[in-house]
Amino acid sequence: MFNLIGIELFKITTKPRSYLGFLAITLIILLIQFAFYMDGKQYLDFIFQSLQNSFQIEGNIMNGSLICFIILQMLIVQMPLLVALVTGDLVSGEASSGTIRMLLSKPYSRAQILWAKYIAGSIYTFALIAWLGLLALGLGLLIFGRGDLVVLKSDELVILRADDVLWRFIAAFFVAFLSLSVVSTFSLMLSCFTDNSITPIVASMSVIIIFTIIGTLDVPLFDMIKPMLFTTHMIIWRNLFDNPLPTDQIIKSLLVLVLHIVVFLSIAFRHFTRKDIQN
Amino acid sequence: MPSPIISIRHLSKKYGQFTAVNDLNLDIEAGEVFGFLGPNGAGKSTTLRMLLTLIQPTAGEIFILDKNLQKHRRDIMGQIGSIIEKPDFHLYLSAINNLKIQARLCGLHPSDKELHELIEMVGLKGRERDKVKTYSHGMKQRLGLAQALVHNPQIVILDEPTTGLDPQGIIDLRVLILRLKNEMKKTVLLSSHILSEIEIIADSMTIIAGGKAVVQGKVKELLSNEDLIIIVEPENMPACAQALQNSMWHKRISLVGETNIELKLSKGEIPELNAFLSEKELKTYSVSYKRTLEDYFLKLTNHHV
Repeated sequence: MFNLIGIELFKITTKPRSYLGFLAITLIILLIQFAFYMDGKQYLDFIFQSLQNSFQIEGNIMNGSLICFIILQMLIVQMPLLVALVTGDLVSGEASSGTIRMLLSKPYSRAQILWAKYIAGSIYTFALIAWLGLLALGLGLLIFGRGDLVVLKSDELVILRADDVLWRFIAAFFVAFLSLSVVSTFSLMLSCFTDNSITPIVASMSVIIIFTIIGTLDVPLFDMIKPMLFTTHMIIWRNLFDNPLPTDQIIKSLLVLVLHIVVFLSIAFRHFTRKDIQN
Repeated sequence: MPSPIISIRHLSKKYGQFTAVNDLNLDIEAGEVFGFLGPNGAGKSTTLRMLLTLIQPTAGEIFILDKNLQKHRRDIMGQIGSIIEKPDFHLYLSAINNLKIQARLCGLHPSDKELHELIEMVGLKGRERDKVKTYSHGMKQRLGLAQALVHNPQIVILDEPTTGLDPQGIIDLRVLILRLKNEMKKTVLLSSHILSEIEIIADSMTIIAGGKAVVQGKVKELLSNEDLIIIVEPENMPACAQALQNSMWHKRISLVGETNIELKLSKGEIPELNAFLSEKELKTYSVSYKRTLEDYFLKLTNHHV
């Protein structure tokens, strides 16, 4: 099994498209950090303009934690595309190139092969998140320094002490990883059903966009289905920056995300292990 | 008598109402080149895919190396190398890396020396570090064969391996297949829709049409029983034509040309024909024959489609 995972990781690392995600993340983060470095104070003054009448804000508000929080909010929308770009290609890419025939006629079961692909896809997703964390938080702290995190929400202002922030970010990255794992499993599942790699990538993104639109529409008709959409729970990482922590809500969302992973994986396994390879 | 290395029993594959393979029985002996012949859509690829577990049979059993394929898949698959339809690669990788992946999928870690020997055997020396996307069709075909052999399997399955190759490529591949059989003692299952290709290279063959085996046996025995086209090139064309028209062969004449006459006879009748021409004192420049392969193939397959 480790042998298979190693082969799958080797394939991922030798594909140029695998580096698009890392390149995009690097560029976006550096761009945001550069923009904040050059013009951030003015931007924050504008954001906190309304609060300056009621509060006296002292200290370094524009610190690494705040920049990282802003980056996370911006990037979390693009991350599913970067993940699906690789995981949506794991099975269908081999089907379109024909290498699936070679792969499935080797002395491994189809279940083992799909597990290896899933685990390799998850490692890739984790690496992407880790890179995001390293650049957004690590480099952010290095450039902008430490400080309390001020989170401005629509109905409240949350201020978290500097020494209370790091664990929240680490937890947020893990939750983001779980959220993206839903996307990677979903695109892997779609990948099992098609023989070209574009369809699962486009379909994954389309579903995420549709679900996100449904989630943001304030229409009573959609109220019933919103809790069942995985996109509703993908933004739960934000709740880790609430004070006090809405533990029940976070656990419930994590369970829903895990349930989605289990369902998508089950469908993928059921189809892939019985599929006739005719192309 | 040793048991066959591949034995197919009552194998069927249905897609809804369509039957791709219908109650197929087949025995392939170890160490032979077995020709699997049939027109396009006859069920050859479906059968080969079932042998490689790419397609699940609707009914029937496959035994390879005396083991049931469904029950001992893992043991068996390590002993099979294959090219199905066309060789496939990770085009963004080099030939060496493609071979390494295939070897590792069989739990092997061949040394660079072993890989280079294989590369040399298939005639790709000097290009092994190049990305496969830069390869020509012929080179890909050679690398496909190397991929099929990298784990030193006992059985090699080649599905239409000469498709798209130029004449030199076809000859080279033929030589390689014969090396596999003669020097490396492999069993080769070779599918094709070209009878002449099978005739040159295979020891045994089966012809499949409409998902059913139409005929199976040793190639020499099967083909020698069939009608040949006998070409007589006489010195005196009108006299020879007249003599043959008045002989017991008259119904067997298929063509009277300007310089030669063609008759459909079996190989065993050629001495009799020679004797007849000699008796009638009809001198000839030559009496030669060619096989009516296409006729034979079409007769068998059309009848069963």
